[in-house]
Amino acid sequence: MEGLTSNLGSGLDAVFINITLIKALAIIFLGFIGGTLSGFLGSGGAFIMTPGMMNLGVPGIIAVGTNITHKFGKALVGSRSHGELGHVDKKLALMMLIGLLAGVRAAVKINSRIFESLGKAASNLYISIIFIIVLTSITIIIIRDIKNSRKSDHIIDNDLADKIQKINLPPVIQFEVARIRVSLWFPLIIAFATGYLAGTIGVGGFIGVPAMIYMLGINTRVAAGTELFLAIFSGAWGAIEYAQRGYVDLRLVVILYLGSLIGVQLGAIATEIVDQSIAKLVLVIVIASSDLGRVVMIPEYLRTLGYIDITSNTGNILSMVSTGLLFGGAILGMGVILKNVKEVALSEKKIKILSHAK
Amino acid sequence: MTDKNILIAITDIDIFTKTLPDIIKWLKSLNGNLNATLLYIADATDMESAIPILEDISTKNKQLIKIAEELNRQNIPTKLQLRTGVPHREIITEAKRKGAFTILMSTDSRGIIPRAFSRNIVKKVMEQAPCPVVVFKPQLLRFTDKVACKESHSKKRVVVSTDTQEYKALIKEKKVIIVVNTALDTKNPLLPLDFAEFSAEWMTRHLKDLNAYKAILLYQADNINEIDNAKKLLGTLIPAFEKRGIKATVIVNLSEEQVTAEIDKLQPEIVFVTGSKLAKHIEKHVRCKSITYPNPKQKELKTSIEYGVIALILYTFILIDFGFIQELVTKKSLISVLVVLITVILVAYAYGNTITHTLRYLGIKPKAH
Repeated sequence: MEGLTSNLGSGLDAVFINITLIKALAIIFLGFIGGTLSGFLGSGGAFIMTPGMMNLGVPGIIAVGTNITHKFGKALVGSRSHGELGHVDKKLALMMLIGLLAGVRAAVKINSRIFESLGKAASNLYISIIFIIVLTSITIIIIRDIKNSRKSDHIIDNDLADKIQKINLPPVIQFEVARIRVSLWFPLIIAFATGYLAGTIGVGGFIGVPAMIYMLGINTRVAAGTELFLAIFSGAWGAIEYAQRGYVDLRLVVILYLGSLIGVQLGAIATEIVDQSIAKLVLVIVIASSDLGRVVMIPEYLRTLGYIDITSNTGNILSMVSTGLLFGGAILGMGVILKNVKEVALSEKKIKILSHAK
Repeated sequence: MTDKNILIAITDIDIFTKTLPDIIKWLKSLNGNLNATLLYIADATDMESAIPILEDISTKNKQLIKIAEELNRQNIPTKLQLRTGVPHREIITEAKRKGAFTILMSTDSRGIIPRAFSRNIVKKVMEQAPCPVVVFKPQLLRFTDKVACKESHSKKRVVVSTDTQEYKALIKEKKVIIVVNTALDTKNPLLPLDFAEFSAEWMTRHLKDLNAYKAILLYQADNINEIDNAKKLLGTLIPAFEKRGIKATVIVNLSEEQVTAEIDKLQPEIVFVTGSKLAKHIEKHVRCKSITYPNPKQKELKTSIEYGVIALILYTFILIDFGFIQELVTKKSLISVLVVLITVILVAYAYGNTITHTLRYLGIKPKAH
């Protein structure tokens, strides 16, 4: 905290934003959209909530710390009320936990160091670049997945998992529930990467689950269950790490809950109504718009750091475009979900009326 | 068979109307030819002029005619008499003049003033009556029992109230009504079954002579299309009673009458309802004991409000008085970690439960997240 205050020069007020009514409403809306996406897609709220908070003037590190803390509380209450965490390979999870916690700690340390030594703009730039890399990769993967799913003869290629399982780098361990025999180093690397991403941008599952499926050859259910189990620890550890450094804005966390806990229920209900292909379309819309929003903000961060020469007016315009892209994509995604829910509900009503008439 | 002159004394038409079905039932249980006199006394004890008395008689006349007609329809020949004066004196005088076999009266427990007023008249009539006095009441009254015990020391005077064994013996079958409409009003498909199980279990645990009771599953349909479905539904509820050895039957009515009127006609000892608007109406208006099965939806609403209040307090504390918490949160210590984690868990728990219970109240099953 000493480093933080000395570098910013203006004390704590520079870290925690002034929350006006409009900002509070925008945060509730962000929470609602993030919650809906989480409920609808199983994950992904952070793709919109962290950049959204950054667009509202929240420093990236606070946005990440706030989001990870918000996610932790939600996951804890959610897992408690549902009493189970799905199919978990506990042996694998416990071993991955080491890599995961190390990854989170490394991420938080690097994030804090950048923020404390180089300032808000550099920290925002760093977080945005990580976001752009992750979101672009995910967008490409989903678009490829949509294209492949249209081909009837599409077969999932799992050659990579076979190759990795053949590497006998000790210690090689048999995981009974996951039904794999693999060198411990690979789960540890995946866990570290997952933890690092979770600690840096608040999203880890999007890397952890596919990596466990495609790199280790674990079936989807066990991968998702193990990741959910790990997410609670990464969330808790991330929250502790950020809270210990004073980077959690409690007000933002509780305001996010106002929207997210309602949204998550709406999203979960929508999954029973809306088709899987629509879910992928929504995901692409939201992730791509969030990604573009971050890309647009890069020149503004570089201007603040003095690397490029653009006017502050242009910077403001870029900031507005970024916000527009992020919120526009989120509203569009929400619109697609609601439109489909409405259509399905109407057709069900028609069926009911017809059957009643018969 | 001998003729029996029955004097039905009315001092309060509203109370009397509520006890009329009991009175008819009791009169029908008597042997012999009955000649009833419906005597209404406009109380002139404290009145200063004759005008209010005349107005009172004129207003009550129509109601009394209807009551007399109802008694006649039930094959109880009834004449109507309207008097002014001091009630107990007029009743005693008329009973003596007619050579009454018995005097029937009604009394109520609701409200201190009516109770004291009617109790006073009943007490005086019982003290001076030349024949037995039978007192009916709309509800199971404790005070009447005491009055009965105190005042009926003379064997000549018999007080029968609706909760005494004498009166119960006159009704061959004891009935318990389960008003299924109240469960359907809640739009919870499982509630009728739970409600039936609760009612049957309550009867098993609380009623001494269970074999003497019959459970009536009552459903009052709004239109003819409902009847078949209602019968099917009620049929599924019968096993809840039969498996406990309780006789059960189904009544599906299509009637414009209120459910309360239907219940009054059946004269049950207990009515089972589930918390709803209709249940409140029934509880208020029926003349027998009512047992309420707690409506799960209302419970959900209550829980939701409780959690909502906790969440509101937490939000107020965090958002209004942030300076104090901010100081703790920004301390680079274990305290800031604890404050963050505990607050987040508390808010997520309280607010999350508010939403969960609200959704359940709205009939939406909360999903895993």
